Amino acid sequence: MTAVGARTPVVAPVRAGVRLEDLSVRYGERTVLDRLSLHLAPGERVAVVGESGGGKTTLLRALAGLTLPDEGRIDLSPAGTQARVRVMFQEDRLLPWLGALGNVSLGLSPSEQHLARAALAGVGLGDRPDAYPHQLSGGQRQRVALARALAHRPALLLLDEPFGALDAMTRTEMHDLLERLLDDTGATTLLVTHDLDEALKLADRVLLLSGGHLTADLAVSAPRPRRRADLLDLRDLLEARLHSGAQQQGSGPGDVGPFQAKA
Amino acid sequence: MTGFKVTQDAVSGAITGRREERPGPSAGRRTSARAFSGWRSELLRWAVPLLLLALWQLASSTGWLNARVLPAPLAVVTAFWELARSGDLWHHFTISLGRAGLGVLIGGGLGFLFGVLNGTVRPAFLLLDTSFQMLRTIPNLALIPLVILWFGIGENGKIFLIALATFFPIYLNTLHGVRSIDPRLTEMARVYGLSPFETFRRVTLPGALPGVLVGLRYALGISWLALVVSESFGASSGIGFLAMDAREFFRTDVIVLAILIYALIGKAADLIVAVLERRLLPWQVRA
Repeated sequence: MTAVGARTPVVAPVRAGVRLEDLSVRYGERTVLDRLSLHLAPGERVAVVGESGGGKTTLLRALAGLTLPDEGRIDLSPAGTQARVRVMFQEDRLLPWLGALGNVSLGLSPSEQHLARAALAGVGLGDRPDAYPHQLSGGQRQRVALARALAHRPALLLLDEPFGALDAMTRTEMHDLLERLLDDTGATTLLVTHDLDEALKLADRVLLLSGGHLTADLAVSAPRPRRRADLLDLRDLLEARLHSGAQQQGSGPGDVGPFQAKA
Repeated sequence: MTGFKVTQDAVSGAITGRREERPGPSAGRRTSARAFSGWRSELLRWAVPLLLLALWQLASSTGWLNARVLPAPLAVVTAFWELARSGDLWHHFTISLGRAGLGVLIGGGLGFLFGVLNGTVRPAFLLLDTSFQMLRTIPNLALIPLVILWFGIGENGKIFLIALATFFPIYLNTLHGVRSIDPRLTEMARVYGLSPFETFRRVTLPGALPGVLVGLRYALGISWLALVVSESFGASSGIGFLAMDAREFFRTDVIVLAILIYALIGKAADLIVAVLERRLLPWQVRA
């Protein structure tokens, strides 16, 4: 595997293609991902849902190069894309000793500082470049973290329950903001979440991960911006599948993909 | 029992004085808080030391307190004035300051380097930490005979003692600072393309800085302790020498002056670190 996150000059947007083949990750005796195969088209927005411990975060960490798979392979295309994978974590992971702009420009070269400014303005915090993380609200901190991820013009953007700790109203605001920014950047995006509404609102495709297997692969083609009311049918389908998936854990990779629905 | 009463009043005055800063005290409390605010609360804070000083002066002036036991406060002031005017005080003061400064620089510098090394490189920690922890428990005074044998009674031995004493607080606090950095931040730095050196510069070092400054604070305090010890043998200059020399001539006023200077320098060192903390750690949430 190539060096994680090695610095590359930020150039024109690249959209990563992702191909996972028979990916397995084990923690000791426990198999977290079990021979998982998956293909993401460049520019696709995918949400991964499923119960806790179902392997969602492990999948994301494997794609980020933070967890090494025990078996199988991960191919990112075009070549050199591994260095252009960026992660937004559940916690903001901002450096407390840097201001908002300092955090966003982390890892950018001096000639790329304008990208940091633009990204911070893009999340609506252009007027607070010097604010330390402790001077910002939880929602504002996640905005800075989002700006940091986007300032690098990632080819693959990985979001690990990024809004899980926010209150409902801030979360809705963040969904709208993220949708707008993703439209602008066009990066291939993988969003891990336990919030079905969030998944259906933001993603073109929702994957259900249960017991280390993909148990559903649902295309969502409703026009944007999507309202919650438009998605209730899909939500019911997904919820039913989520519960049945939890009951028949370990039903094998053969279960992937029969579930296709169009909205 | 009156003395006790005064203290009690002073204490309760200080408490109400502080209460005033909090929002929304009850109306009755606000009145009493205002009565003890500003210069009034300052006066109360200093009432006991000033009273003691006045009693001390009175006891000396009336001859009740022998000058060989304790000189009058005014005698100490006179001694200060004489020594300051002749330039002797400045001479000895700068020499002491130089010794302490060089000792802290060497000991603290090494403590910082080894703290960072052992905090980031696991094999180095395993190799060195146990030995450092063993050396740490040796009292400074116990080393004096050896130090005299090794270095004679010149400057090197004194600086060695100060460096040794300041090494440990900075080493321990740097080590702790480096090790207490959230590993999730280092992981983030990796994902965001920072090289190991950049990660050190932008994550590890600033993260460890509060610990380093705590260590520096202790080290500066301890450096004066080591200075007193090292200047009490074979010294021909420095504040400690001034005190030792004064003992030969029963000049208690100079001895007390030397003690006061040590106290003031200690307090000044504390203030310097407090300023450094405010300057270098503007991001820390202050209570």
